[in-house]
Amino acid sequence: MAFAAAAASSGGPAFFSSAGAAPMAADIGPAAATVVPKSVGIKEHRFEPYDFNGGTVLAIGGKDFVVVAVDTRLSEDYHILTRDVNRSVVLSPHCVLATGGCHTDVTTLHKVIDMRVKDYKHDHEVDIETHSVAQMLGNTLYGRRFFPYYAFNVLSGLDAEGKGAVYTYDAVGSFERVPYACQGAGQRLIIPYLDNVVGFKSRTDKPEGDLTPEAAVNIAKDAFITAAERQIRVGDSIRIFTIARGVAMKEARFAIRED
Amino acid sequence: MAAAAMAPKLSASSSTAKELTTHPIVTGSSVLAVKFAGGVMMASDTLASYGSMARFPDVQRLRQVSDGVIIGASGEMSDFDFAMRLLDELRVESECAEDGAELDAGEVHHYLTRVMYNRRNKFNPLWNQLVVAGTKDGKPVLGVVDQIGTAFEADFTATGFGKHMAVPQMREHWRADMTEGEARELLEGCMRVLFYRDCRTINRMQIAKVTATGSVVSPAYSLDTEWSLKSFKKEASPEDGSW
Amino acid sequence: MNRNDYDTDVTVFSPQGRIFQVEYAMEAVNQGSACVGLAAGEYVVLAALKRLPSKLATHQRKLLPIDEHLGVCISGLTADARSLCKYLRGECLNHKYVFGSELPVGRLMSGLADKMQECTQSYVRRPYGVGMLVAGADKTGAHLFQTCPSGNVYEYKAHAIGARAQSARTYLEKHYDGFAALAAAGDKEALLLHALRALASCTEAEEELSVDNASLGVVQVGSGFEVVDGTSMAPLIARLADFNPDPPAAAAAAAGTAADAAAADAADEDDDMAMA
Repeated sequence: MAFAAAAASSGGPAFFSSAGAAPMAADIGPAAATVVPKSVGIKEHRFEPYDFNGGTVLAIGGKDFVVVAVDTRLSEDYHILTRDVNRSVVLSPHCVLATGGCHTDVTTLHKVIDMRVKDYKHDHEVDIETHSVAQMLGNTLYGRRFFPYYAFNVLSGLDAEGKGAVYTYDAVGSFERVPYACQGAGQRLIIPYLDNVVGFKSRTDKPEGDLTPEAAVNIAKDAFITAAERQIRVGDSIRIFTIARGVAMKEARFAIRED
Repeated sequence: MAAAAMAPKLSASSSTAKELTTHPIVTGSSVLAVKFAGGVMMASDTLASYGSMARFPDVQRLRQVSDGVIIGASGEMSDFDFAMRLLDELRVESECAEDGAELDAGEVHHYLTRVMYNRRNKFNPLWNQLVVAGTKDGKPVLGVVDQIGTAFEADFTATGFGKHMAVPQMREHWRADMTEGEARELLEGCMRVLFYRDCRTINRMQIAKVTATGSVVSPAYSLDTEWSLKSFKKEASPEDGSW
Repeated sequence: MNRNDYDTDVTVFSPQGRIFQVEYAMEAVNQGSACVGLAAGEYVVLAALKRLPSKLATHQRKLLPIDEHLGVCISGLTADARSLCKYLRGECLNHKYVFGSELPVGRLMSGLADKMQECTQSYVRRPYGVGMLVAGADKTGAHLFQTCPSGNVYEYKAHAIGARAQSARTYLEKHYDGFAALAAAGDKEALLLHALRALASCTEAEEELSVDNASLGVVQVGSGFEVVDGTSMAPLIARLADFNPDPPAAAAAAAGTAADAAAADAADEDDDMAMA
C-alpha cells in the first residue's frame, strides 16, 4: 500500500502500471507511518513485562507449628497454562516461601532467595533463621523498588523459639509478622474466612484450646475449596506444608475443583 | 510501509542511543506438543507471516538443539534464530568438554527461561513462545517459556492460536500412555482444525519426535482437508450466527 | 634459605626447566595432613586426618561441602583452600541458577584448574598452596579428582595426598579391586571403613584415629554429599579395629592381585627415590 501510494503520487517507476486504477481516496488515512501500527499491530503487541498468573498463598501460624497452603493453577488471561505449577520453595528444614503473582518474577525471586540462603549456610554453617530470611526477602524485594518483582509473598516457618511465624509482604518489600496470612488471587475471599475461624474476629465466643496442625490443615482446605467456587484463578490442587517443632516438614497435595 | 515497520529493529546505528524490540514482525503461529509413552511429539506449520501476509512458507519452526532436545517456536522468527544460536554455542562448548554431560531438555528449558527473563528486564525481549522437548532419565520432558520468562512444564501444550483451538482437544483426548501413533493422530487433528480456523496458518506442517534414543524432525507435508463439511457450507444462520 | 637462584618468583624457569615456586607450593600440600579418597561404582568416599595446631586448639577442618553433589578434602594452606571453596561454591550456585541442575564435576575442575594455573604464570601472584581431593556425583557418574597448585587436575579411582600419604596409597592399591563389589552391594559402611583404614596408616607414630582427629565424607549418585564426623562417625571408629579389609570372598580375588600390588609398591618406592 505504501509502495502503491508512493508510485501514484510521484509518477513512480514503470514496473507496475497504475493505468486504469481508480484514483485512491485522499482520506484513506493520514500518513503511511500511522497506518503501520494498525496493520502490524504495535497497539496489540506493546511490550508488557508483567503478567498476572494467579496464585493464592495461605499460612496459619500456631503455638509450635505453621501450615502453608498454595495452589498449583498457572493461568494467563482466561487460559489455564498448567494445573500443576510449583509456587513454593523450601528454604530450610523449618522455612517455606510461597508466592503468587507474575510467575516469571516468582520463579526468579525464588531462585535468588534460595541462592542467598545457600550462601548463608556455606558462610555460617547453620540453617538461616526464619526472621533472617524475612528481612533478607524484604531487602531483596526493595532492591527492585523501581522495577518491582510482581510477587506476593508469604514466608512461613518456625522462629528461634519454635513458634509458628508467618510474614506477609507487599511487592516492594514492606513486611510484617502476623498470626495468619493470605495473599494473591483468592486473598479477598479467604481473609474474611480466616479472620473468623482463626482470628475469632467479630465473634463473642473464644477458641477452645490451641489450634492444632490438623485443624489448621482443614481450615486451609476449606478456604481453598471455597475460593475455588468464586474465583476463576483458584483451582486444580493445593500443596500443603506442615512444619512442626521436632518433626520433619511434611508436604501433601489436595485436589480442588478443576473448572 | 515495510521499511517503516522494520526500522525499529534494523537501525541500531541511527542517532537514538538504542532501539528495542517493541513488537514482533515476522511471526510463526501455533506450536503443539504432547507427551506420549516414552517421548514427546511436536507439530507446527512452516509459515512465517509478515503481519497478515503469508510471507515465508518454508520456515522450519521445529528444530533440533542436540540429539535429545528439540525446540518449537511461535512468535518472532529472527529472535528464534538468535535463541538457537545461543544454544548452538552452548552445545559446541559442551561437546568440546568431551565428558558426555550434554545439556538435557530440562537444562535447555531452564537456560532459555533465564535468557528470556534477562531480556525482558532490559525491555528488549526475544518475542517467542518456545516449547522445549526431550527426555530426562528416560522420562519425557515438555517445557514452555514465553517472551517474559513465564516457564512451566506440562503433559501437553499449545502456543499461539493453538491455546484456544488445540488445548481443548488435547484435554479431551490426551492420555499418559498414548502410543506414538495416537499422539500423531491427535496433533494432526489439532493442526487440521487450526488450518481451518487460524488465518496465520498454511497447510504445510512438520512433526518432530524425541524419545530416549534420539530425535527426528519430519520433512514438511500437507494434511488431507475436507471443506465440504456442513458447518463450512452453511451460510450465517439465525441459530448460531456464523460458521 | 633459598634453594637456588631460580626460585624467587614464579616467572623464572631454572635451567632444568623447573619452576621452583610451584614445586614449593606442591610441597605445602605434602606437608599438610593426609587426605584419602576412593571412587567405587556410584560412590566416592573421602577421609581426612585433622591436625591439632596446639593442645588448646580445636581440630582444623579438612572436609568442606561445596554443593549438594560435591565436597572437597584439603591438604596444605587452609586459608587458600577457603578462597578456592568460595570460587567452587559460586560456580555451582551460578550453574544451578542458569541451568537448574548440578554442575558436572569435571567441568568445575577444568574451571578450577584454569584459575589455579593463572597464578603460576604471573609475577604478581603466588600459586595456591593447597591440594584438594574432590568427590562429586553428576549425570556422568561418581568422580574423584585431585587438584594441584601447579594447575594440574587428575581424575583418580583412589588416591591420597598430604603427609605420609604414600602408605595410604599402598593400602588403596592393595584393596582397590574389592571396592567395586562393595559399592555394587551398596555397602557404604565398608567403603568408609576402607577409607579410614587407609587413613590410619598416615597417622603420626603413637597417634590413633578417633572421632576428633578424623572426618569422612561420602557422595553417591542420586543422593547428596554427606559429611560423617564427630558422633556420627563413632560407630565406624568402634568397628575399625575388627574390620577385616580382606573378607574371605574378596581375599581369594585379592590374592591374585597381591603380587601385582606388591610389584606396584616397589615401583612407587623407586619413584619416590627418584624424586628425592
